[in-house]
Parts: sequence; structure tokens; C-alpha cells
Amino acid sequence: MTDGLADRRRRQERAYEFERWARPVESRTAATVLVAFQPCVPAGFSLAGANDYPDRLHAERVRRYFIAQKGRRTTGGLVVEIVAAECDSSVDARASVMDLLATQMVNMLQPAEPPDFGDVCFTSSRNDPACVLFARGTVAVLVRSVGSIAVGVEEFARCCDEQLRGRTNR
Amino acid sequence: MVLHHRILRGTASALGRWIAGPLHRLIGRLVVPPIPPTCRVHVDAIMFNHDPSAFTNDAINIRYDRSLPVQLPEWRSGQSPGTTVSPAAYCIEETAGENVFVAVRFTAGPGTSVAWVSASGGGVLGAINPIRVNFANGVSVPEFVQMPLDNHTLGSNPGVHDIEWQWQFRCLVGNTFWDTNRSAHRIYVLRRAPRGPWSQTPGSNQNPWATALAYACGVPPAPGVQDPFDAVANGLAQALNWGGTNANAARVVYDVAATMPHYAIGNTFELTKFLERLAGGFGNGEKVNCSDCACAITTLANLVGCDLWEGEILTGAVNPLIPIGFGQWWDPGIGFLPSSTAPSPGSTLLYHEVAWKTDTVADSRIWDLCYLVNGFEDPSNPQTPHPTMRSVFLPYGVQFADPAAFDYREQLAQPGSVSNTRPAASRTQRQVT
Repeated sequence: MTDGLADRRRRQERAYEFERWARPVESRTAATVLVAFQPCVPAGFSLAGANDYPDRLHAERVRRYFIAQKGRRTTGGLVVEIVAAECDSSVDARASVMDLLATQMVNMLQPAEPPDFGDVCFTSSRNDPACVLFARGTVAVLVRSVGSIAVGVEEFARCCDEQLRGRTNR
Repeated sequence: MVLHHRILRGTASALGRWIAGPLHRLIGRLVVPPIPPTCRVHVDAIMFNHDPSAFTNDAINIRYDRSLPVQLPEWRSGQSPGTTVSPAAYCIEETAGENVFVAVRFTAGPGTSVAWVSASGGGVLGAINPIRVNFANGVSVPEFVQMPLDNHTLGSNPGVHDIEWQWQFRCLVGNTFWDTNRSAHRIYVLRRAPRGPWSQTPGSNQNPWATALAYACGVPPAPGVQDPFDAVANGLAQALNWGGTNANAARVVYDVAATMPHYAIGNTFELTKFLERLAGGFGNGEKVNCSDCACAITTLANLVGCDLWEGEILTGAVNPLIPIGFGQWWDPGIGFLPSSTAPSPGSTLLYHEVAWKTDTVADSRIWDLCYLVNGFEDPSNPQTPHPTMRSVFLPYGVQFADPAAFDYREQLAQPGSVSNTRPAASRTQRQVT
């Protein structure tokens, strides 16, 4: 992390009151270490690509997935990006959420309380947001619309969260 | 009259055929046909980057892209032609006044010990004057012969050039130069050696990529700019955002929903994906933020010799801006303004990132591809943009802060935030990936 990034993160921690939610107070999922996150692909969509995210955040592994409409090439249209940070602890997952919040130029992502998804959640709007960032247990997930057709990503985020919740409840 | 002309023309034609036929046969008997060559020479391999530790006399270290290095020698006989086959890049500033040469391996038929070799054509690298080559066991001695590029015109031809040499040889007996094989090459001519993040460390994946050179070298410099490197950066900036809806080469739009980066991730810039986008593909999608834009111009401009850095600006409340890919004025707090003259509250931007020339200090020049600003100065309030009348200004190669002028900082920041709008101390050139 460059000095600029570190400095910005410190400022953003204050803006988002990170101290307040940096550690889980009570969570059934907090202690469960999750690995090998698989993105949820809703009906009518397919996995168009996957690769390692260049920033490690506070995670052991950060993967990025692109979900596109079936039958469409990923050169346009409706495409959703899912970044999943698989961490060693729920504290690291929340720190990863903070890492991502710190990259905003304007604090567009606002806390959803109670969280719509995960244990902590930030969304770009209350109604079918174009960007959702949440942490469930030891995984931090960023879901955002990146195609030429703007799309709300609530369905994608919910699907990913349900998958995570199902696994942590085992 | 017409009939008379036709008769005359027909007679002349028949007479010509009557004379020309026997005359041709007579000349054919008198002129001695050329003696077939007593030797055979073949161009086997050409090395442009024959000294990876330097680039004053040869080409620089490059690779095709992040994953694929360019193998030396760059060209081998039998290599199939193509636009990215046999790429090489030369730097004008570093090779000026130096003896530039290529290293060529020749093969020859049995019994050939000496031959003269030259090449015609060559485009920007020029024709190669005849040079004596010794052979032993059918291979040139030394194996790679230094062939001076005495006729190159690198200095006046920055850009991308597809060139071809027709190689020729002459045996010791006889004065005729005979054609042998041809070689085709893609030559990138840079004004100066690439700056960071590009590196000349042999084998580094930060060696300049041919895929990026193909784009950066192909963009013409902006006219009317005195400094040639600023002109290059301005040309690239204009290609990457010439203003308005979808008016940019990569078809990207500002991420108004989250204002997060999509290509400048951590300490890296995902150039592979950005180039994919420039080539018409998807890349990482169409959204970008200011860090992505700062990386794009810094990385591509520095590839052709500019010296830019990515550096943040600490900001406060800002004036309305036109984000890349859009044609509407935008306020960070309220979104797009309903009209170009609508008043704006001036909302806060947490930070901004632009490309800086040299240090991130107040009098440095900046390139901001992400936000176009209002260049219309309020006549009743000098050095302040008019609150409702706006004209789009492309802040490319402009001074960040100039006490004597209506500068970028004043165009970006609300009057009350100008003094708080200052360059952050740190600067970076993100590694390409």
C-alpha cells in the first residue's frame, strides 16, 4: 500500500467509524473460516471469467468473477463483477471491507443497518443498488455492475450471501 | 480524314512489328546473360536488441505482453509474417549520434568463404550498405555480423513502422548483387527511453510491452504544444478522453455509483485488461474512476518517454465536473445536473488522483482525464469559474496552481476549498499487470 493509500484509508476509517464495526460483537458466522468461495450465478446468466484480484486486501485469497447474460459475449451488455476476499478471520474480512471502502472518491457506499446482506453491509443506494459491499463471516464480497447496461445487483448479492450463510450454518 | 489517319496508324504499327521482332532476336544473341552466382547466401536470423544491457546502439528490451517475452534473435528465417512478428523498439534521444546496428546471422552454400551482403528497403531503419561477410562451415563468422544502420531515419520518425528488407548478396566473383530472402519487422520508435513503471531490467515483466507500444506509438502528438513530451501526453489524453458522451478510445464511463477503481487495483494497474478494452474487448468492464484514468495516461505516456506520475490531490468541495464518458455536468453530492446552467451546491470529494509531470508540487503540470472542468472564468470574480455559465475545458498539461492565472485548482475546487486543495506528498507509478 502506498503512503497515499494508507493515509486515505486512515481518513476513511474515521469517516466510516470503522472502530465501531471492525470486530464482530455477535455473529453465528464469525468464527467459521470459509475458503473456495463460489460465485452465485442466477438463472439466465453464466460465469464469463474469473481471475485473481491484484490487491490482497486483508485476505488469504481474493478472486474476481464476471457474470454475464447467457448467450452474450462479455464485450457489453449486462455484466456483474463479484470480488470475494477469503480471509482467515472475520476481523480480516471486515478490514478488507474497509480497504475497499477507502478506494472510493466519494463515499457513495452507505451502511445498511440492519444489514441487507452479510454481517456488515454497504450499498450505493437503498433500492436495487448498482454496488454492494458486505462481509459474511470470514468472507468479504464486493458485487457491482460493470457492463454497458446498468443493473441493480441486489439479486446477485443476495444469492452470494445465501450461499455463504448456507455453508456457515453447516 | 479519319480514314486517312487510321491507314497511317495501321501502317506504322505493322512496320514497327516488322523491325522490332528481328531486332530483339539480334540483341538477345549479342548480350551475355548474367553468370549465375557462384555462392548462395541466406539471412538466417536478425537481432535488433543485441545488447540487453544498453540501448544506445540497438533496440531496447521489450516483450509482447506481460506473459510473453520476445525471444532473441527477434527474427528467424521461416518465421511467418504478421504485425507483431519480430518487434523491436528504438529510442530517438538515446540513439542520436550513435552508431546503430543490427546483428545478423547468415548461412552460405558449401565452399563459400566470403560474400558481400546488403539490404534494400528497410523503411525507417533504411537500406543496409554492402558489407563483407566471412563464412566457415556455412555460417557467418562471427556468427552474428554487425550491420550498421547508416541510412536510418529514426530521429524524424517516432511512431509504429512495418518495414521489410530485401536482402542481397554478391559473391567474390562477379559484380552482380543477387536477391536472397526478405525479412519483415515491426519497429516502434520512441522519443526517449520509457520511464517507470517500465523497466529495462533484462527479463522483467515490466519491460515495455509490444501490445502497449502498438497503441501508444500510434497516437499522434497534440499540435501546438511546445514541449514534445507534453505534446505526446496531450495527444494520448485527447485520445483517451476527447470529451462528451462515450467520447474515449476505451469506451469507459465514470463509476458514478461507487466511484471505485476498476483497473488501478492496489499498487498495480491492470494494463492487460485496459488494452483489451482499447482493442474493443470487455477488459474489466466499462467503469473507471480517477485512479484508473491517472494510471492510463501515466503508463501509456511514460512508455514513449514522458515522465509522469500518479499522484493524489487532497480536496474539499468541488465545482461541477464532467466525468469521463458523460456529457453532463456532475456534482458528487447530487449527481448529474439537470442542465448545463443549473447551479450546483459544490459537494465534497474525498480525494482525486491525476497524472503529474515530475513532482507533485503546486506549480507542476497535471493531466486529468477523469474530470473535465469548467474553463469559463467569472468576469465579475476573476480566477473563479462562473457559477452557472460553463464551458468544457480539457485539463491536459496544465499547471495545477498558478497564482497569476485561472488555473486547474481553481477550476476544480469551490472558492472556499481552493486553499485546501493541494497535492498529496506521495507519488507513484503503479506496476503494470
